[in-house]
Amino acid sequence: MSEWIDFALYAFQIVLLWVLLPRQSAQYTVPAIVDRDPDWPSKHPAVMQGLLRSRAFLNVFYVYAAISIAVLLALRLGFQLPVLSRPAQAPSWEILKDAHGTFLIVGLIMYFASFLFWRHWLATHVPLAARRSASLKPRLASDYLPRSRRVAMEVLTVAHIGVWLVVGALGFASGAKFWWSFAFIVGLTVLFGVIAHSVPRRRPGYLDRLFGEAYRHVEIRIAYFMRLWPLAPGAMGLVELTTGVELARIGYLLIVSFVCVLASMILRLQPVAPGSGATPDCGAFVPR
Amino acid sequence: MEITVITSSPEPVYEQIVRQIQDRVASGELAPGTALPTVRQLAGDLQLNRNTVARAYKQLEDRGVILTAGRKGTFVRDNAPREVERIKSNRAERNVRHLVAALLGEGLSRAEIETLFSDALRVARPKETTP
Repeated sequence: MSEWIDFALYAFQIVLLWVLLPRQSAQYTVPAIVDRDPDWPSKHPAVMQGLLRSRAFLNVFYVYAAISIAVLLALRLGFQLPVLSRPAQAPSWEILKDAHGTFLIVGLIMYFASFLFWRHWLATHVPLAARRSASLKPRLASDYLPRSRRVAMEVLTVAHIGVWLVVGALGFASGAKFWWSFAFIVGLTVLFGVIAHSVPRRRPGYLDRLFGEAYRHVEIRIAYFMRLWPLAPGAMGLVELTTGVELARIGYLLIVSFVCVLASMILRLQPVAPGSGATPDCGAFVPR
Repeated sequence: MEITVITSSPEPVYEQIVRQIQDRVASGELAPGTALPTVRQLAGDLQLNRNTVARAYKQLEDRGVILTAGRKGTFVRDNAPREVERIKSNRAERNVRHLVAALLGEGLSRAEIETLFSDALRVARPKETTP
């Protein structure tokens, strides 16, 4: 398989994560403030102008995306980069994969740090409005996802863990590496299970107001879809550990594709027209 | 169906929650058996401390308006409308007694108090809906 396929997929993911998603996020500045206090923007016009003019967040990620793609392209073309040097016998797809993985982790840390900074800024500069509203209707996962799909997900998850236990108990694979991999898979399963469980209970905010009821539907679908994530590395890990077949490259490409699908689901969301009545029971703060 | 609280109001927030849920039960908007959000959900949505909502739910439970059935959730009790009516009439009776006692303390006669009440009833308008 040509390494150009790897490069194309990595570049596509970089554009999705560090160009299109930040551009979409930047549009939430005003709704995030209005969600805390509808009167704040009119009371602080100078700060609002400064916020809306600022392109620092976008520029940082655009530059980061350009650097990431340039470095991956240079590696694909055979240039040696001292920072990302690997043993001479390392295959080129592995060099590309490691470089992409490093850029992905650094990018995620930058994105998360920006998010925390923005949350901190909001909490310190925009006090919560005194008048607040909430729905008296309980939110449950069953309101958003059919029972059959939720049951199927639980069955798949339990079966997956069960297969690992059976393989370990019957001795098809064992040793520290097997049990550490098992612990990792169980950890991922629990983590995504907790996320899927908490999404229906999340406080409605500006994103619900912007995208309407569709937002939580997509969010819950993504959260349940993410529960499939441990199954792919889990199944591949089992095959590797029991047969010795190397699946690292295909496994990594699958994970990258998976992230691309999730990012596309978020990017496809369309804001609902204000006053369309498409966001019943979702407002946390009501305009006076 | 929404609930609105005003944190700057002199009325404690938990009482605002209790009052609004009782009002909705009385008006039939919250029918017996209707599920209510969990303390965690309502506190999160209103960005309030969980103890505030828990206190409101506890008071509603003590008054027989709602029932918490463990993990199944919180529901409006079957006899909640009757309980709310009883709470309202008890409160009204208490308020009237306090007022009458105060007026008698001011030296007004029984006849004068009756006239004041009938005059007040004549000019009274239904209370405006408050959040």
